[in-house]
Amino acid sequence: MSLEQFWKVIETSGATSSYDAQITALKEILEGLSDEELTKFVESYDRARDAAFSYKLWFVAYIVNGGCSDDGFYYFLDWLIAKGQRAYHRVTRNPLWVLFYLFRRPPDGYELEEFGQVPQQVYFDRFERFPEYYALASMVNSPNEGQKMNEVSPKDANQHLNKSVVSAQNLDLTFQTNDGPVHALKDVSLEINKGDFVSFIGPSGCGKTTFLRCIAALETPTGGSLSVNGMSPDEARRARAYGYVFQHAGLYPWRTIGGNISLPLEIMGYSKADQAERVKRTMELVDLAGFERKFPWQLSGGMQQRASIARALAFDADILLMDEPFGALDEIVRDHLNEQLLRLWARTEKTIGFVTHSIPEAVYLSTKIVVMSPRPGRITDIIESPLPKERPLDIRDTPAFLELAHRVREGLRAGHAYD
Amino acid sequence: MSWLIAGLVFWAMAWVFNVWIARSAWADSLAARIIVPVLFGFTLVILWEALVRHFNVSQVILPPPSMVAQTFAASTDILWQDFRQTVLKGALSGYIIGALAAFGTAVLIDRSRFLTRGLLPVGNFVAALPIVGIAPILVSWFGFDWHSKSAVVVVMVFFPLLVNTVQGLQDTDAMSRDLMRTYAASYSQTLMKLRIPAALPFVFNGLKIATTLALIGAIVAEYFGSPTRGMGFRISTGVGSLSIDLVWAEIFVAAIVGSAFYGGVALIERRVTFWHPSQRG
Amino acid sequence: MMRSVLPVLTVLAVILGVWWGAVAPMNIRVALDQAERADLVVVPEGSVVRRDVSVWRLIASNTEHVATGYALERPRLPTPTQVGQELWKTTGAMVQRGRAWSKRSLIYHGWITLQSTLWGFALGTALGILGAVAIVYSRVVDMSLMPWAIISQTIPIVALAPMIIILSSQFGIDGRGFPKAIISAYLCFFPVLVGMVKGLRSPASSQLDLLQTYNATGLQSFLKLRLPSSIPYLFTSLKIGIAAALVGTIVGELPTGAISGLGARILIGDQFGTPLAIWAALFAAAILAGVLVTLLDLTQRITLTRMGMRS
Repeated sequence: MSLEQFWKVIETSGATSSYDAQITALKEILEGLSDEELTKFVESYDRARDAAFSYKLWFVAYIVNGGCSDDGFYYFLDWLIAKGQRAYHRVTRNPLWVLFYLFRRPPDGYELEEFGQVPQQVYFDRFERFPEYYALASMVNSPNEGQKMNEVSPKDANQHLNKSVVSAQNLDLTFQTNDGPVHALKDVSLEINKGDFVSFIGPSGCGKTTFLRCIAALETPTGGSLSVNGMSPDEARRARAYGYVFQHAGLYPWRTIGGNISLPLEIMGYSKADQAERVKRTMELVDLAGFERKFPWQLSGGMQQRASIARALAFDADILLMDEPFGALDEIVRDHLNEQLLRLWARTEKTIGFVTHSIPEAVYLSTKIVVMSPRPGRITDIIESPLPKERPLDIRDTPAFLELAHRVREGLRAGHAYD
Repeated sequence: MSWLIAGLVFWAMAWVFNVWIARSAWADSLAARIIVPVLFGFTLVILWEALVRHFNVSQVILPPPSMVAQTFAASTDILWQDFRQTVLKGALSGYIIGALAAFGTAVLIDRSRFLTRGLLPVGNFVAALPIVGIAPILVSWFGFDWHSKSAVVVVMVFFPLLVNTVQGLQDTDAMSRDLMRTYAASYSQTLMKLRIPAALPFVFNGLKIATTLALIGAIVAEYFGSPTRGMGFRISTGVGSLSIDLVWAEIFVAAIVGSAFYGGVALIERRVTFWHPSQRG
Repeated sequence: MMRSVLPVLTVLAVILGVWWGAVAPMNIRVALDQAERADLVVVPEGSVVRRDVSVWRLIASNTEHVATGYALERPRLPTPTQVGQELWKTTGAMVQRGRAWSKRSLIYHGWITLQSTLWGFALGTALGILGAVAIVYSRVVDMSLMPWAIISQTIPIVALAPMIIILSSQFGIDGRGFPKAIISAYLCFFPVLVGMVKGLRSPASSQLDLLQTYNATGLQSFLKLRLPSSIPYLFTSLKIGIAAALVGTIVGELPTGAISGLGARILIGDQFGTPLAIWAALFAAAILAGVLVTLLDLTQRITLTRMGMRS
């Protein structure tokens, strides 16, 4: 017994079968598994959950193609979008929710037949707000590679989806102050791809934090265009597309560590059980297990910052925005957290935007280093890191690392030549 | 003569003892922090007793503490009756109504930056006014019984609490508000999860100030008319009928009630805002 | 500062509006009684009958008498204009007639109250500052005095007021100003004490250490460091203190049968059933409080600017 068989049930039952019958069948399979098989199944499920988004979508595609008609697929997407943020989120965070949404009865007022009559363009228009589905739909509808849906592998899906997560074109942001306008950002263009670790480095006033805040829709650009996950930043914010880590941990002193981590979960309406599970999981992720009931002010600065990272990870947003998260910590703690952050990034395959003013930190962590300079805040250099993904701390003593650091320093100097 | 000497000797001894404790290694222990002020207070009482006895001060002017204690023990029923009338009916009901009203108003007003900016200076000004003066007007509106006292207390506690709560609700740092924004939290979620908890230290500050105001309001209002019971009534008639010992007993009750009320609120504050730096020490 | 002007005016306008609107329901019964006595048509007749009818019904069925409620001689709730007129009548108008110091003038009564307030303020401030210095420099005083200072403020001072008056008259101190000053000092000293303790302790330990390296004496470090750095705290508490002192004086005047002072005007207005006098005295007290706090605020700005503590 394996995951394949699990899926087979979904295939054979199809959209016509009742949800209950399906669940019963699935249950039977699960109960028939030996302990070892069950562990394997759970592991594969876990991988699916924590792996990149594309992998989950492939899962969705697999179920959709095998489990229901094309009409049903569109119906599913339509319904998902109609169901709103929450359903969309559930599915993108945890593919098993598909089972829930796909095989439940159609909502009132919807008949399957109706879907044939809606022009496909309507769906495509809607998909544009959800680029992952757009990619999926274009895969289904342009079989130029001669592939059938059930032959699509996670890798293929990934290729289709490897679009930019954050895309900025000629971004401008001008603050009006009493001393005249301040150009916080001028003509900033940047693409951040899925799974990138992008560092923003530069002297204070170069707009690195401002740019991050623009992505998070905490500032509104005065010119240019910016999209996050194919949506406007504010839509992305409302879709809870990212977790944000501030320079100071900013944990609420009246909540325990566990309570702080479940804060976003409470706001986003996760169930109590789900909250507890996620708090436990993310606390393990940042090595804070056992500190759940402590209050923030009973922990060290490094631990507080780790808790704030856990808080940003708890709701499984695909983007993590970090604004000098380790700036207030001492060197040793910082090294340790950098190492942990890399491991966490490898495990979760998130896209990370990271603001720092430390050259070694930027070089050590990033796949892409964005060098910025002030007055007006602009990008002076974008450096793709040639370093391997696997990075022990002593990589910082290798020539490749030092050379990269040198290039970053040169970039920073060039920016300073203006004043 | 002996009374005076005894009093002075006690004073000197207590002082030396306190100095000794304060300089000793246990100066920071809880016991020392209780013993020192208690001894100080006790010394004041002894001195009072000694001075009154030595100079033979008439009892209609200043009775010795021992006599006040006797009167207190002998007239507990009157004191209890007055306590119920003034504290439980007048002060406490007004305190609760005023606190709820102020809190509700603050939360409502808080939605509008414009109103908040306008109300804070006005509220601050009104909170500094001698509002007790309104007592005769409210007594003429609401009658002699405890309802008018309650009304005076409501008016008196309302503004300090309002100002404190509004200030507290605004006391969130930009980062915490940004955090809530990144979660796309609704107004009510931000209010419940961030702003009200953050405002609690301020609210309790207001609640503590209001305890004293509530008692003052309830007692003053009784000077302007009350049924034949109540602490204010007893004090004003006691002064007229020269039963000064009973007046002092009432003052004693008022002092105990005032301190207990304040202490009670402070205790709740400690339980609720245990996380605040001022409470952790 | 300027940004708040419009909101403040709006809030004041709303308060005035509510006040104005409340006059009608508050005064309708009195107005109808008066109209009935003047043999005018009132629905329903008889004040006893009207007691069971809600004020809104009374207003609806006697619209022609509502205006009467806005011009009563002894209203339950006077209109803002009535209060304003009464204030003018007892202040500006009396000055014009050269009778500013008549016993009916609020200027006279305000002056009496102001005197006690200032005496109490001076006494309370002095005690507060001395207490703070003692607390900061002596551990015993800190441990024994501080808890009692806090407890003293939880005791409702009004309960003590009559006693203070009896005692002070017995000790041969005549003049009604003295006990009032004591009471206002009692209320005033606490904020000053707390503020000064905070202020005197505000220098950072590095600043104190610096003076240690100069081998400065205790007095020098007090005069050069602790005192100057406590000035901003002092002014903040002085502003609270002066307001508290005024409250103390008026509280001292209320229950003690005083015959002059703003509190006494309130008391007399109550006894003689002249609500307008109460309201006028209340507003005079409010104006006095405003003036005092503003004066201190100005002093604070000037002093701090001179000391370079304010940019």
